[in-house]
Amino acid sequence: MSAVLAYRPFLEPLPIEPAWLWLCVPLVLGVAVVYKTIKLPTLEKLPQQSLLLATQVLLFMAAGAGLLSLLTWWF
Amino acid sequence: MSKESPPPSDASPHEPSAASGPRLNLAPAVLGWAVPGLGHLVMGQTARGLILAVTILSLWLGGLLIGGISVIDRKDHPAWFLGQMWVAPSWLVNHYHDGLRQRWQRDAGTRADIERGYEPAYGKPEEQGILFTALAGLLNVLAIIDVIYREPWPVRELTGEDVPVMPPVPEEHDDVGPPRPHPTVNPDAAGGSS
Repeated sequence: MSAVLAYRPFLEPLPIEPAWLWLCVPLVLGVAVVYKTIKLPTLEKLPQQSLLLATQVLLFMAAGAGLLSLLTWWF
Repeated sequence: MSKESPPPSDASPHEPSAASGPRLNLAPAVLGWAVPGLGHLVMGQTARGLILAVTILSLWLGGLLIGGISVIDRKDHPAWFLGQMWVAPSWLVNHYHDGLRQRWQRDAGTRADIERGYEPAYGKPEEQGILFTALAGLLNVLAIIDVIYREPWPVRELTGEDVPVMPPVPEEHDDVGPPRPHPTVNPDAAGGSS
């Protein structure tokens, strides 16, 4: 708590160690939004398309992590 | 700046002119490098530009918030800077960070109480900060490439209105080129169903 209170934005790193893995969610969402913004001819379905792509990426990442975990456990 | 000019009236619509090649929007591309999304904004792509600006700048600022200014460092992370440099403010942050570091290195030998001015990131904050800022830069490369080749017609992306239409089909000229099929419905096929 004291580390967060002493935090100076942009000059000191945030203490993110406990939750660093969850940062992949905004990262993947940002990639999906930018990709779909460029790709779609009109932006009517941008929220749905971006959410769908981000979910697919996260699910495949989780599946890949699970598969690698199984491999390391097996061998 | 980059309005689509109508073709000259005396030119034949069937012959490609010298100016019919891809039009490269280089000035909007430079603006898009300076501020992500600005290239789309100046071309009339307001919604697209705003979404790109908010998303890319959020990732970039998020990386700086996570790791601090030390995550943008051309000397220590030259390979990552190849991605970060595509958001132009990264150069300013790198310059500012380099100045603080040089001042601290110069004064640290003479004064024991000198403060560094910033705290370098290590471990996960450094890793995530670098990842966010580099990814923002690489996504801006996609936006820059998109704006280079994008048609500069105003499009209301959110409503779908004013979507750029194909140029009007020119009148058939018997003396120029072979006859082309008209893009309307075949009357034989349309009348046969009833």
